[in-house]
Amino acid sequence: MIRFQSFALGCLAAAFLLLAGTDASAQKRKTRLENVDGRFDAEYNYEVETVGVGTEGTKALKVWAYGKSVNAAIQMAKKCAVAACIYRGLPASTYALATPALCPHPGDEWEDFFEDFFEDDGQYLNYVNLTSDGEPSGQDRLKLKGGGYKVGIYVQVLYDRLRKDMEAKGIIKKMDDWF
Amino acid sequence: MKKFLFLILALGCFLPAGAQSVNANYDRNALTVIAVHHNDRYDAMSDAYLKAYFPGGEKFDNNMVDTRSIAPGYSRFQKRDDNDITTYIRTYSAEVESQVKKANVAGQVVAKWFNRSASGMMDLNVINKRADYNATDQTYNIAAAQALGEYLLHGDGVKLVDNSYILVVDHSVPERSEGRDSNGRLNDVTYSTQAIGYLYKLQFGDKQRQAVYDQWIYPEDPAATQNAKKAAFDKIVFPFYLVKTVEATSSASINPQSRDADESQALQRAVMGSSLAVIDKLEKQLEAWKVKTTIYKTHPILSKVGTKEGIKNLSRFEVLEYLLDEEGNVSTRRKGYVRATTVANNTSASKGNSATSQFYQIAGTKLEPGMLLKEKKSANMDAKALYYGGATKGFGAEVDMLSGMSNGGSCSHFRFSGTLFPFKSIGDYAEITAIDIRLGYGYGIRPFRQLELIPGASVLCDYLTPRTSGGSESEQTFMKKSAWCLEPGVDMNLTIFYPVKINAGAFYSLPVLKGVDWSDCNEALKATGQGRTGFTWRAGLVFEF
Repeated sequence: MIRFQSFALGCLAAAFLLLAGTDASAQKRKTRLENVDGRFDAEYNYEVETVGVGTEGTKALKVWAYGKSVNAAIQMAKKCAVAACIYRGLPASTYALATPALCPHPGDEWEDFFEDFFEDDGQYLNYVNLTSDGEPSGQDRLKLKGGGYKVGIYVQVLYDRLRKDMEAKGIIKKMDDWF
Repeated sequence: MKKFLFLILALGCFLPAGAQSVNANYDRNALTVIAVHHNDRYDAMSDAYLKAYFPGGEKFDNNMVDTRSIAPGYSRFQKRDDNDITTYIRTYSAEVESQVKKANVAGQVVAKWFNRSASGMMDLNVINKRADYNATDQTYNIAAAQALGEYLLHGDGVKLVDNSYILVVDHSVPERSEGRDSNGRLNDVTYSTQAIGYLYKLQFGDKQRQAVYDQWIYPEDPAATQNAKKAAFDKIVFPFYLVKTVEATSSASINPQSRDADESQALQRAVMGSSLAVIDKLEKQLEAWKVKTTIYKTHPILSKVGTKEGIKNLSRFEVLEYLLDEEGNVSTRRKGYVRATTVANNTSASKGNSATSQFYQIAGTKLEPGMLLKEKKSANMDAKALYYGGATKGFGAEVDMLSGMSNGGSCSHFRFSGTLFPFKSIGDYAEITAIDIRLGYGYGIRPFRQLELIPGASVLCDYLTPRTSGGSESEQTFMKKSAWCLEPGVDMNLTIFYPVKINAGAFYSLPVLKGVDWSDCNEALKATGQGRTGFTWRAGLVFEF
């Protein structure tokens, strides 16, 4: 009986480890290659760089993101640019100060809104312009050895407009409310 | 058969591996060219062309300064072979460098960038203009999306000062050779010169930049301050270092019988040619001088380069794709080769909508927008090693000069070939040798990139002689032993492993003029079924370079 229990426990442990391993690698692949349920958070794999001071009310950014194809990676990078403004904040650069996130933790009541917002043809597209010349090129277009692409694109995010629209919807507090 | 064809086509997509990482950045370079004087009568020849002509062309910013020559004080060299030239360079390079230093060429180059006037006043006009000219649509768009706009591009201008090169060219004593016709009349004069190029690069970093700004003269500065700053600037030692030394030879001919014959023109052309050949060699060897751009669009292949980068029809580019491995290492993989077909005139500052040049893919697999194009200098030639079959069997070599590639990949082939046909004991003849010299033209058509069909025709001189004949040949005896033929036919080049191709062709030789001795020999050959006219085929290997 004890021998059977040990065997059963061993099987369970092995199955658990196997499942955990599979889940971890699947998660890793997912976060690297595709958007996870339209949610963007700090764990999502993208890189943002502030390239300079944008024209009035905008942010000039370079964003690196992954995708199964170049076009998918470009689309992902555009989402990431807007997502960085909302959730993560923008890093400082030689020419520009850091910008805090508009709304790092929007709360569960906004989950559906942001899922729609970051759909492929969602509203996020209203806040981002591509400033790259054509498709990402040279060292901004990296083919991954395991499949897929990592691309770096230059974008202009209409930051003030994004903030105002978020304020209007009540997702974030208006600047006036602080005073 | 289908499998064989598929295999050949698949092979045609293969390219020699290239796995090192390549920096995709390319900025314009500025060039200063200086001649070495030896206080002899040939000094004038190097001066003359440097006064009239900037050898850097459109590809380089013109950084010619007041100093056009240096005189190290040793005699002009005679043309030498490779070993001798290496020893010569080793012996005199330190002396050349010290003369460049003594003439403060580096200081003059920096002054040129900062548009320094005789009074020592400087401005940023040249730098800003060159920065605008260097900008790509990508950098323009990025700048335009920022608050400072196009002014941001000017910030990059000062970095361009570091891309300044000084080329010192030392020409050999020109060699003159003469050619005479059968009446002993002079009908050809050829000048040949060898040139050694010492290439130096200016080092212009933060320290040097600060040194310039420290001596910046403002209009409101008192006269004494202005004079002091001017004197201080003149004393700044701008560092430079030797990048590479190369040598190249060039020759030019003239017919003294022609009405406007001027030997000095041939000499000038030879001198200019050797200097340009030095620059050409450096372009092949220096990574920073290789134009790099990217594919803007495919179908057709377009890229935003043109005359500004010195691109010409047939300019060859290697296509590379960047790869990222799981450890985060970036490398490049070769995807193919393209040649420029329609070259855009882009000699104006970018405004985000620059003209595009069109390219034709000559080898490799599917290309995509964004892939890197890296200049791979080419002589635009095919060299062939050929076996001739059919009635007569022989071996030959052919060189094709490629010219004028169309958007569909078609191009002209100007051909020159020599073939040897050895025969053994035929009729009354112990041994006969046939030597063919062909001069021809073909037009290459590409149904697809791996295959080139080249219909064309050649004028062929078929020279037949028994090996034992020996002795000197006069024009008369040569004509008796020769036949002049017209040879229409079709050739085919199939790329198997670029730049190596398989060649096969079929031709028909029609005699137009026949010498008496040639006819006799040919009759003997015909009797053994090896007549020199009629159908021949050939096959061999081609190397494109």
